[in-house]
Amino acid sequence: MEQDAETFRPAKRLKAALAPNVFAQFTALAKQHGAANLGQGFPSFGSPRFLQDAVMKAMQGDVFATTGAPESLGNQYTRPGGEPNLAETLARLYGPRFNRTLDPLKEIVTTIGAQEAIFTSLFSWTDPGDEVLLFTPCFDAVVRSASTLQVKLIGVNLRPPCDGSTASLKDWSVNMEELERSITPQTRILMFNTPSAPFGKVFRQEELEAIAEVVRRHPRILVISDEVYERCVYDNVSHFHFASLPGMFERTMTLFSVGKTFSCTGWRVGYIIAPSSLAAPLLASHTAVNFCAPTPLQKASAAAFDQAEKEGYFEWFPKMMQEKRDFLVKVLQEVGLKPLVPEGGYFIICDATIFLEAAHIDDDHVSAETPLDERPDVKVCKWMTEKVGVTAIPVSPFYLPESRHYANRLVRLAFCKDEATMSLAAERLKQWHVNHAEKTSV
Amino acid sequence: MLGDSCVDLGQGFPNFDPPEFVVQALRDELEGPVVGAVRTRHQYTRTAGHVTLVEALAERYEGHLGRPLDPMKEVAVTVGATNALFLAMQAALARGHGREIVALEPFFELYRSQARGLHAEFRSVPLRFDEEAHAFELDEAALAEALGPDTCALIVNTPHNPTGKAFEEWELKAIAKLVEQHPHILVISDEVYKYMIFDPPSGSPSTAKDAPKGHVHFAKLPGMWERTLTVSSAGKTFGITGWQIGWLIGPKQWMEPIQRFMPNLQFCAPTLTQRALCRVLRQAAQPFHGLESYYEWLRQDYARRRDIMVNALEAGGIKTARSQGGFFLLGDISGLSGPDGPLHESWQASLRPGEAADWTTCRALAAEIGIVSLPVSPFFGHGTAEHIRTRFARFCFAKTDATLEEAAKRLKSLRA
Repeated sequence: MEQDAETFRPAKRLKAALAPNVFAQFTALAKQHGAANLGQGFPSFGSPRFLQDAVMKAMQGDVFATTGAPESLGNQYTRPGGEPNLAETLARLYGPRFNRTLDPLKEIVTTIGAQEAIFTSLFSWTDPGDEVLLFTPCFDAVVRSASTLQVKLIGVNLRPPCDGSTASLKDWSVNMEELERSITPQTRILMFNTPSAPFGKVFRQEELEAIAEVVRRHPRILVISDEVYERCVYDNVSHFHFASLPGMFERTMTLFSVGKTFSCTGWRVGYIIAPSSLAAPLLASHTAVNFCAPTPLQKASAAAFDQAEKEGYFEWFPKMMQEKRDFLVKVLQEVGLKPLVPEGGYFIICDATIFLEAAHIDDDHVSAETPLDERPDVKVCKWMTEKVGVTAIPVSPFYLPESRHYANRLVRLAFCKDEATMSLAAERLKQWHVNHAEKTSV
Repeated sequence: MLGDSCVDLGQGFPNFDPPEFVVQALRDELEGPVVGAVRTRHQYTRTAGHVTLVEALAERYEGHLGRPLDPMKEVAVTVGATNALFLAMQAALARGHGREIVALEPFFELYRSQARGLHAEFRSVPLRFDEEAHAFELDEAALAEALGPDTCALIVNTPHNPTGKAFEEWELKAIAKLVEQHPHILVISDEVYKYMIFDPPSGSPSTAKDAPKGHVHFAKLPGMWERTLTVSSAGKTFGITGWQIGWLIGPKQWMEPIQRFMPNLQFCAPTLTQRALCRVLRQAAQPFHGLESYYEWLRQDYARRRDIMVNALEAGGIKTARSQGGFFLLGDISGLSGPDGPLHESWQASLRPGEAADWTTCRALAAEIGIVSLPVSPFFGHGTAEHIRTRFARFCFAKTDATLEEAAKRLKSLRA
């Protein structure tokens, strides 16, 4: 029986969730044009050797028994809250960082990547009609997950200082009055990301304390603190856990990612640390939707943390990433892309005015309703892939529609890339710059 | 209750290692040579599934379903069948034609928790229990009554958890006929145990050597492809429940929005295990241990374990419900109950106020002879009579020979 397109038109509330994934789109475009891909945020350099060893060990050591509980499982289901070795390792590692003893069985829930942690935390803790307050720009997955849950999204922007000076990210901030004004009786979740993406700001203790002050005044609010980039912090800045502030552990779900920590985004292992009152519903949702995260990779993650400590990986990794950041920043400055130097994370935001001009892309007739494909930053990223041979990601998907105009000239470049790709990108940017200078001086 | 000396026949996963070739596939994946400067082995892959895996799955299902399949548009790789079921239900609900999800009863409890998590109504339709045949069968009239304009999806699970029933072709065709009367209903066909059908019904269509013997793919029935999403997984077939690789197969109009929604849930399934599974699928179709394929070896191996379990239960006075597949059996434990029955020593201590009889009996069984089984009443809704609801316990026979032998020994003591 023939069914028409109307039969298969999905619910309107899924519009954002079903929009094409910008990362996948640009990765495909990069491949098509052989561009140096500084777009999607996955590392393209080799992962630490100890990961491989960890997986090998995890899957061969299943210890069963004729009677009683199995002693060690790598290949079968594990407990939905998290594979025991991993849960214990995380509790041991994070307890001191949160100034408390963590219960591995009740205060840790492992997930299928931090992506699932985002979905599960929103799914478990919002009802239709609730408001979710987001610091923007933010990872677009948050917007997409939230949009499936019939919640209202309110963005509070990270802003440069008013004096308009060429600011470093340290001086960008979220205005506390604006934050307070955005709270209503329906506000249920306050969600932010530190280190943040795409801007790479690391919130200082004082800034987080100011946010905590606001949260203390509004008992209905729960906090989701996305800290997946906690290990990528540069210039001797320290990462600070929001949940370690007085009274905040009880109100906060903190999200983490093994994929970002160990450059293994394809493992799909993330975790949430939260008090048991918040963790129990997270566990219920996670169990129903996925049952458990893949066991061998959870087990391997536990071994990876142990090995990382032994090898000094956590000291080495941010140094290595900082070198890559510095390399790319220098190139971007040279070619006039005005990078905003990040304090943390994997990305550099640039002002691509020179490219917009060269490509004759104007940003005059753009509004909140302008579809993504027609926005100047999206167009300029496509142009960059085709004409410069370097792929960047547009920044407008990271803002809510009413604030997208801030991103009209902004592009995001990832520096978590192998040397060959970085060098190729540098070469092409410099080449374009030289050609362009010649053209415009004629 | 679950002490160190208990024989656990309650847990629904094997207590033995996966076959060596499966573990080796993951090893090979980890140690294989790296090509090129860009390292992707440990990184994200395509959100709807790694390309070589979806191609391998499309090829297998072309054989199963007798039709060409587009690997990029009609296949999606999920994090286990659990995840696939959730996505299928979510897709059905998103279309806005009704909010009821229907399943046959007894049902895998996950269906209900997922439906409720999605703010849907869950409705279960009892299977009829034939006392003479000691078997569950489809009650067409009951199902017909349950389907209507409010129904957005019907879950068909064969082989069936917890009964082990492999639905026969006439039953599935009867279901298809009913579904045809309600064009908006999506059928979600949960087939994770399909490679374990021990007594293929006579007259089963002959199939390729590496096809699931005795299994009827619902999506292959006339008129059903367009309205069915097929769910299956690697976990049960290859003894790797912890790897969590599942998949959805279906027509573009259903799969397209699912593929766009999936990344919001978990971005993609793990890359390493997907790539390893490609190797596994290739090898599984080859001759294995003197049999035509791994799948045939698996079927016979589980058939043997099933027979051991049936004999052990019957020797203990526990009559089994007829089952043809899966790795569970239902045993009638009603005769064990009571303060004067075979479990009299533990009976009093096992009672809990307001608890159903099967829970008490299972607890007493564990306490008295150290065998853990699962009470089945939670798998039923209210449509089934109480004496059937509380009659059975579920026994998992995906256990080592040593475990099954120990179980048999202990069960025998019930009759002594």
